[in-house]
Amino acid sequence: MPRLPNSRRPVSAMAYLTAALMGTTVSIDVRDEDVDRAALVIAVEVLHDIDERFSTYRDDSEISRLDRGELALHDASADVREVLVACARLKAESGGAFDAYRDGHLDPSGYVKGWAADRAADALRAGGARNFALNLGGDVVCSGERAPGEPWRIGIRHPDDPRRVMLVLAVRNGAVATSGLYERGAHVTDARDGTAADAWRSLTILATDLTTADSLATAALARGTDGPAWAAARMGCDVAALDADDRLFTTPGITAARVA
Amino acid sequence: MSSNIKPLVALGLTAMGAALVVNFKVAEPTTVAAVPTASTTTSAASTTTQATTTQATTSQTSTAQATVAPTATTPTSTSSGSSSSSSGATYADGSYTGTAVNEPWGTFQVQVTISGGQVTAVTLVSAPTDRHSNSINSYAVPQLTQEALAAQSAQIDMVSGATWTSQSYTTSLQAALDDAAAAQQQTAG
Repeated sequence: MPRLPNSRRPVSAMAYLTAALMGTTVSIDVRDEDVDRAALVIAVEVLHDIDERFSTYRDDSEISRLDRGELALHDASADVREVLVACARLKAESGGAFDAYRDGHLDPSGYVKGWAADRAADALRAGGARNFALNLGGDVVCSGERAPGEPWRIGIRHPDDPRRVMLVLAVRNGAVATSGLYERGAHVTDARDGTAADAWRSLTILATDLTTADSLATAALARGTDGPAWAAARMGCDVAALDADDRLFTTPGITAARVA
Repeated sequence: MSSNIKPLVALGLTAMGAALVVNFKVAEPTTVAAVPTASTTTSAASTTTQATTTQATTSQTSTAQATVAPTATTPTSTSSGSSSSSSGATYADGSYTGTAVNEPWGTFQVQVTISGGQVTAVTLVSAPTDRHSNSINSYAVPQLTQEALAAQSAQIDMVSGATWTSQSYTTSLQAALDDAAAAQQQTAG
């Protein structure tokens, strides 16, 4: 990490990029000495491209055209078809709690964010990056290490207070996504009955990829009481969940990764 | 823009959950800056290399604010830092005023205070006062500030979990930190 205010770290970032897009911010931190900066720019271009095709805020996106019936699914791009098929699978697996159709409109954004970050991470790897962390809107995908012998340190913010992190996870190759009830109240609803998902104040998934972590965090929060157990039953998924009484429940993989 | 945008990650200034956009719709300028760093050591007062900045290639807009166009930032960073530096620190002590970022609805500017080489405070010098911006000011700024202060002490690389963000805030903060780093470099050099 570059220019830390209290720079005790042994290695600085070799390349860093931040950009505003998709209504949020992406930060990319690459620690490889031989990093090609173009890889970071390409990764952001990948996100822009995905945003153009998937945004529900753009009238000309494939998703908007699909929603209006102007585009048939079989004429959509392979990426769009892949995402919508995955959304349908997740809907079935979550018992309907996760649904890419909200209020009658197609909105796969609960799946797209993590998936998009994974595609950007793919672009970084293709560009030769091996040790990097990418944060898209509070969802983080890590590769390699922050420094030789040191895993990345990913903080999970407390739902009450951005000054506090609930826990810090040491992650080498993996992804961390958090869904929760923040200051502005519920933003996830259970698609089965439209009620606010409020059984858990914060729900974090640690998984091998961010597509899984992000979509399961959303789906598990929507499922309610059994959400964390449901997600933890998935292959390679660990869960940390904070309940209404501020009790933190963690699976063994979280406990093992926890450093603070 | 004197843009060495790197510390944003260091400070954990990340993002707003995409789902939150539903409640909080804003037009933001698109800013991309890729910056190589020359130093790989802890003795931080390292070099600042050139940055490439591409602006406003696209704008993330949404319903309510859809007609608001993003504007380019104005690099008018000023520094009032007096530097009493500690060796090995990245930033020289003092107060630094960041870039005044012109938004369609007003100007956004922050000031950082460095003490003992660390960021100890981030204050808002100037902010737009329309209704939309007031919601940014009351929610986003305190959070971003708190995150910045928390992340540097917690040795965290990234923060997971939705947070508010303001590109204008981070742009201005970055400029202030760049000045603090430059002041430290002068002292060290």
